[in-house]
Amino acid sequence: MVLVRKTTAKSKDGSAVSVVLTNAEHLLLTSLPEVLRDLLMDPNRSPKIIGRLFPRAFEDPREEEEHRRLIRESMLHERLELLDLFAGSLARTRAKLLRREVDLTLSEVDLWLHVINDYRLLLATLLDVRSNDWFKTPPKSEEEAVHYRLLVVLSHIEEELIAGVSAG
Amino acid sequence: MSTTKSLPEIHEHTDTRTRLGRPWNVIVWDDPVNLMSYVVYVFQKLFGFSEQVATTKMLEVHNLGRSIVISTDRERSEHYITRLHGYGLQATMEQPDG
Repeated sequence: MVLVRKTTAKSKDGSAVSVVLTNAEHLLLTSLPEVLRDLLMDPNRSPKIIGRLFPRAFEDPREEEEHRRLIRESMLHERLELLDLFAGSLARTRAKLLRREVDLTLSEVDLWLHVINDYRLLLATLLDVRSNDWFKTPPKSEEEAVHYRLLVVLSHIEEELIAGVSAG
Repeated sequence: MSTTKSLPEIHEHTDTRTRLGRPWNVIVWDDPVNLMSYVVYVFQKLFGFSEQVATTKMLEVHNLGRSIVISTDRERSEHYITRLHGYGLQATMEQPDG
């Protein structure tokens, strides 16, 4: 299970939290950038997921069209950049027995939250999550069961990261 | 006659100015996926809210389905919307009537 500990002393590189992951959690996080990158590079392949990652800003269709025309490309590139930075920070993890450890700055924690939450939205869209108690929904297939498990694990990592940076 | 002809243009100009001057509401919508703690984190990060205010706004989203988190000029509203979408929140902007 992931452990996030706020560092008591600021290190030279400005690290704010120390994150300890199980090997399985590390493997899961390592797989996120490739899946998200494939999706973002080919938006027509999964329009429903893309629609969730890039929701509407205006109710008025003309305003919305103009907004998308101006913003969509830059938001897409920003997300792709975040994936590269995320992968880079994961590459810094140090192996310790059955765990992996990495020190993150506050901006890197924010970056991790962006990417992890994007993948949560991807999973939730695949599962067609519509209610707050989605975790009680029995899966209809083995594939769905895997997706639900991943969603639970990523939710936990996200909560621990937030608690870690919020701790006094 | 010419004065009468110019009046509609004046009204139009005033209406445009009035519309441009009105603030825009940034609205965050409820969704079943984003964690409450995450929404609080995003509100604090983006708007500089205290934890208490961020939590109040989050609970408004959760219980009422939506919350107007800020009212500001169009440019700033669009900036916040873009950032909120970047964080995975569902958010829209609109000008209140009147």
